[in-house]
Amino acid sequence: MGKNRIGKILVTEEQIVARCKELGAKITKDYQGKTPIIVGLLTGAVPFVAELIKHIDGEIVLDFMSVKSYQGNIQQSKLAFIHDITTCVQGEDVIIVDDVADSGLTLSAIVDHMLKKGAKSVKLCCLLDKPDAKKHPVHLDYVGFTIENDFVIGFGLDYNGRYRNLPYIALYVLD
Amino acid sequence: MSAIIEQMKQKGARSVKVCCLLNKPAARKYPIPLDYVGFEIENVYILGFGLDHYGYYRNLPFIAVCKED
Repeated sequence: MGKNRIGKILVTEEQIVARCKELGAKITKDYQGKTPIIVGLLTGAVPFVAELIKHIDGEIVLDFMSVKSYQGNIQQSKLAFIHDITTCVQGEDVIIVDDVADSGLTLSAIVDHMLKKGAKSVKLCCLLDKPDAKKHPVHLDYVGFTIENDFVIGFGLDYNGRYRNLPYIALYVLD
Repeated sequence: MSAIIEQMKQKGARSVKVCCLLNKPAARKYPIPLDYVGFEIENVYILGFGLDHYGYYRNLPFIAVCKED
């Protein structure tokens, strides 16, 4: 244990749950009569996916994938798949769920990956959007909260693997 | 579960504890120590809150008995 690095709370647990209810209701409406495949990106998206799907009132399939992106240059991002999904997405509607959209490089590469696998549609859902960090244009279909380009922790977001279990989102206190 | 505990120990973990949302004692074939248990239930087919039936129902915010045909 070192210095307490948990700074100002930006989004409270109550706000997150309330927003997940709204997003869940919207996804329920948008996918009426369909069975979307919800793909959470490990590890950061786990708390968000778990809260979100409780509020989707309809049939879904849940899967997870783990990727690492290596930036070759500003235009391209190479994905390394640590663990790909096991569900077949051919002809299916996919919703990618992540904790935060920053550069947009990983997310757009994952959308391409899903389309190549034959997905009928691919939508993106992020708990947080950092528009100021965007390097690659990526359309987010469902956004929890829009924040500034600050270093944040909690509710899945980590610093060196820590703080993911905080029930809220807070600023990380740098030296 | 006991295989996972064994693997963690082989990886050099100092301690390994097990935490399960549900415990089905009547289904147990290998003895495993559960350190943290949410709820004890009978050996019935259930779904919801992560538990599935052919990949469906994981999103239910509760745990229910699966109606079989």
